[in-house]
Amino acid sequence: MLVKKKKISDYITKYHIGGICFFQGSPLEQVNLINNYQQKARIPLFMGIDGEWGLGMRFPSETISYPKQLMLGAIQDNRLIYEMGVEVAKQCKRAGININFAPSVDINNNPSNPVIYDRSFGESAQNVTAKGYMYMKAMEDEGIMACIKHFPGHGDTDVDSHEDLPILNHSRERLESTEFIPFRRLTAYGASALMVGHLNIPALDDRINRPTTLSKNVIKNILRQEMGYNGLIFTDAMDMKGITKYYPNGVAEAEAFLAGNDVILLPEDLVKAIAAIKQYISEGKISQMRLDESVLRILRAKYKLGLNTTPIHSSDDLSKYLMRNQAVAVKEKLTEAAITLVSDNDEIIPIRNTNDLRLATLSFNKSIKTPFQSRISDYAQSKHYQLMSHQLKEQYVQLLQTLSQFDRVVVAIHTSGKQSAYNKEVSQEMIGFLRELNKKSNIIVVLFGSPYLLKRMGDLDNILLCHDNNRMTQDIAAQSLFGVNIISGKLPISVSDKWQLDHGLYRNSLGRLGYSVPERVKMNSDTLMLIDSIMAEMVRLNAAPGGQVIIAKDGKIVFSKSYGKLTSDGYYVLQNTIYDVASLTKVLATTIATMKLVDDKKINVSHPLRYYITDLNGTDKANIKVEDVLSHHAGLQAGLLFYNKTTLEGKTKSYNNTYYSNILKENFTIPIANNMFMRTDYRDTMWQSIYSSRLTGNNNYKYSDLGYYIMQKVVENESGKKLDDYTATHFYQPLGLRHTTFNPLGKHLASSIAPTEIDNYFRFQTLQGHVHDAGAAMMGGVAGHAGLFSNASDIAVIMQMLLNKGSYGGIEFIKPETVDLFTSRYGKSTRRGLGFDMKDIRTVKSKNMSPLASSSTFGHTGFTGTAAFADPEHNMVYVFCSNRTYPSANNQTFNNRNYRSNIQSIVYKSISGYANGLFP
Amino acid sequence: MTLTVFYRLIHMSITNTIVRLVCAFIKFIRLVPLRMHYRSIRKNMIRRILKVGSGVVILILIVSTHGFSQHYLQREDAWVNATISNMTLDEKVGQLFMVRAFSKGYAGEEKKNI
Repeated sequence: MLVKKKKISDYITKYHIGGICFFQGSPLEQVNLINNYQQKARIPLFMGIDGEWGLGMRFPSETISYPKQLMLGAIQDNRLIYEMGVEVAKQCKRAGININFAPSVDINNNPSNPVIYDRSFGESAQNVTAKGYMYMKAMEDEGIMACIKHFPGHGDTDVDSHEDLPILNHSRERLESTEFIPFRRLTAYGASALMVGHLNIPALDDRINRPTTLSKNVIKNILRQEMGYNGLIFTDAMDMKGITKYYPNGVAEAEAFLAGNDVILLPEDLVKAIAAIKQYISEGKISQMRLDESVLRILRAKYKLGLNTTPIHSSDDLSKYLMRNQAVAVKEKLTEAAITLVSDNDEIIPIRNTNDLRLATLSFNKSIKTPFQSRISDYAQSKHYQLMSHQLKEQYVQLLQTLSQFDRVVVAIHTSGKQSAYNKEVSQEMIGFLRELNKKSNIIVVLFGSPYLLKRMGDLDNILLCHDNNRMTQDIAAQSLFGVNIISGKLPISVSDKWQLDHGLYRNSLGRLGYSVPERVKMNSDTLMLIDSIMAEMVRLNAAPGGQVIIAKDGKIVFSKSYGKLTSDGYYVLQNTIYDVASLTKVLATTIATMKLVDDKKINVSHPLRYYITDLNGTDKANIKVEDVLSHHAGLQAGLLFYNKTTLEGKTKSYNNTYYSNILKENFTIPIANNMFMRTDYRDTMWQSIYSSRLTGNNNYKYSDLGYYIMQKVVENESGKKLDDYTATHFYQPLGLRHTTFNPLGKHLASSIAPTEIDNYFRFQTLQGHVHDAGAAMMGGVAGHAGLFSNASDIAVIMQMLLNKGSYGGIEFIKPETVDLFTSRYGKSTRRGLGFDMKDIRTVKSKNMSPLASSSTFGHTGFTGTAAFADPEHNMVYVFCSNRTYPSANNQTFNNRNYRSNIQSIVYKSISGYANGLFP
Repeated sequence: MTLTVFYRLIHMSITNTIVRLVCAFIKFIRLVPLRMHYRSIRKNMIRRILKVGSGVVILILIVSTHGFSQHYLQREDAWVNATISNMTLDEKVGQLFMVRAFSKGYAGEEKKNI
């Protein structure tokens, strides 16, 4: 190592080399070395790297590897290639590099090409040119020199020039019509550097074993004169066997210079090469003028790169910079855009209905659950199987039988991406198995490998091609399979008669929530980190034992975290921990049910209650309009303390036997807590007191639970179903919500539900799974104002559905005009929509939500410490769950410290543009 | 409303008077035939001002950008020429080469993919 470094220092000081090309290593060491080397050089050095897919090509674990060019070839929006080029260039700059030997603009028209393969944008000269231009232009705009390669075109070879000299037996006409196209165009568009490859092309130079790199005809005549190219010309690496084999001892380098190259890349032996060139000069083969011409070109290029002065590169925050989320976000976009739907004969992609779908996944070549499978679990109940190819024989029959029991089987084929390995990774046996399974069940084959795999898949019905096999691709593939993203990729090469170049089916997004990094939606993850400290404080001050926070913007969940525990000494809060959402029930159940019934013309919000509840005839509530009830402008009281009338006098800890029993028995059938059943007929008494409750006598805003008890009745009378049934069948199930339900016990373990209080006034026990609200409990756990249990991710889906104007997962749940009606301020109100809480427009000090939320934001909060808001202006959903009422609902720390709205404010502050005052 | 209209009228009449006076002056110093109506004089004036004005703007633009690129090229030329004239033959030949470097231990297999 030391020797190596010393040698390069020698090359700089003794031999005055013009530049260095970096290979693998670590970014930090590289920057230090570069600074050191630049200091030593009298004329600052070119610092090159071969970063076709970014610095990740050389530092795979320390920075981002962008997709290989073949995968990029599938992308239809070339602006994304530009975005990638910008990011690659920024990373190069930070790492001390000033030349990136990319893009390769070779045309991939030979599938057995061992060296180009997935490093080309594909077989279309147009596509290669357009994408090559975007990549090149982006880097040049950022101040990094791009170098298009490998002239005259390395695509149609079946020999690796690292090993031997490939021979290309094409006519000049053929080269003009294909291989030359990208080079002709890009040199005309101002490419500042170009690399010549080691190829033997008899049509251009018929000397035996004469590579294009050493051919005057190719470089001086064709490139310089015919094409009029005046930028820098680099040789391909001179230590490749394809050249050293025939031209040893520095002859190759001297001949390369003689042929017209400006920069000799990686001479096999620098000292010999220099001697050979000097020999050529003294012999008069190379003139002083010729030497000056190249040196001048090099110096001009250096000046343009700012190398007229010695650069110093800071390594501060280098590692962080190279992994930054902005770069990740670009990679996500590229990955999404490349995914190609090759065939969908059964029309099942994307997967729409997840409800009642018996879904299985089978991963080939992976022995443990993959990121692809994990993400599928987020969207649908599914059973996962793994299979290594050597196990296929013994498990064939059993597996075939098991899998054919499912409605749908997603078969993921994981590969190394190397064509040479495909025979092993995708065996004939495996294809046979898939064919048989294809006959018995609806299968979707998801290929984590290159388009060449398709050759083997000819008769399978449904195929999604994902090009790569990394974690991100697997994750995004699962999301695309469920309709999160538009599917728009097209084949960059022709695979067969059936699947030609540019083949790819287009699918629109189904509007399901996806997963991404904050920077993808222009939010700052550093700002969002502040949420962690606020939540830590909340737990530390015992304001609440724990909670969940979810932020989704532009259809992507960019923040989803759980904090603290269920009780201060209990289990940790997990993503699927279930919370009693209290008054969120008003919007997440009662209001959306009402909206659906409005769509079905069963309810008209301007009609009086008596139309829907005959029991109200003759009462003072008969003529109250539904919309006044929904917006809390009906003059109803806040609530009634029903349980008060059923408890014993004095400080006793036992139940009143008149109303309660500790066992389920006749007339005592309503479970309100563990071992506590209420008299069945007491509910009628409750309804009576609601119907006969005193009205306040005006229509001013008065938040009322009673209105929502009444709305439950309206919904149930008009739908003919109980509120819990109706919401489950019309919303929660088709939305794919697996943690949203009234009365969760029996469906979920009590231990997965956050307890809401140690009740020492009514039920005398810890409430865990029974609704905290006494009135809702006495109604049997299902009430219009409280009773629903859910978690942050399920709530986010409902809010996103509303933000999507009523649609989600390809299903329209509520009509857009109905969503607009309910989520706009109601005429009489400065704050309330119909059902939904909004920001009070009379005051700047909003209490229910962050003052930074836009005035069109709608949602609700809940007594147990929950909140859900959707902001149409920022296309954003914010959900907060906690059990702040545990151990005691009297604990006011939570409300006094405004955790819900403070965190919401941070969310707004993290949006880029906030600091510049660009909003609100 | 009516007040603003009133002010505008006054303003217009003042401007008008000034223009008339200027025209009279131009006639007086015999720049235009005496019988020419002040309106055509006014039109003429505006046209001339516009012509000359835009010409001047364009000229400034050309001169400045030209000057800028000229300046950049001059600086590049100056550096490039000064540098090359100070280079020995060895330095010139050396300048043509880029060599291989690693920032971590050498591993032979990574030779590929250039």
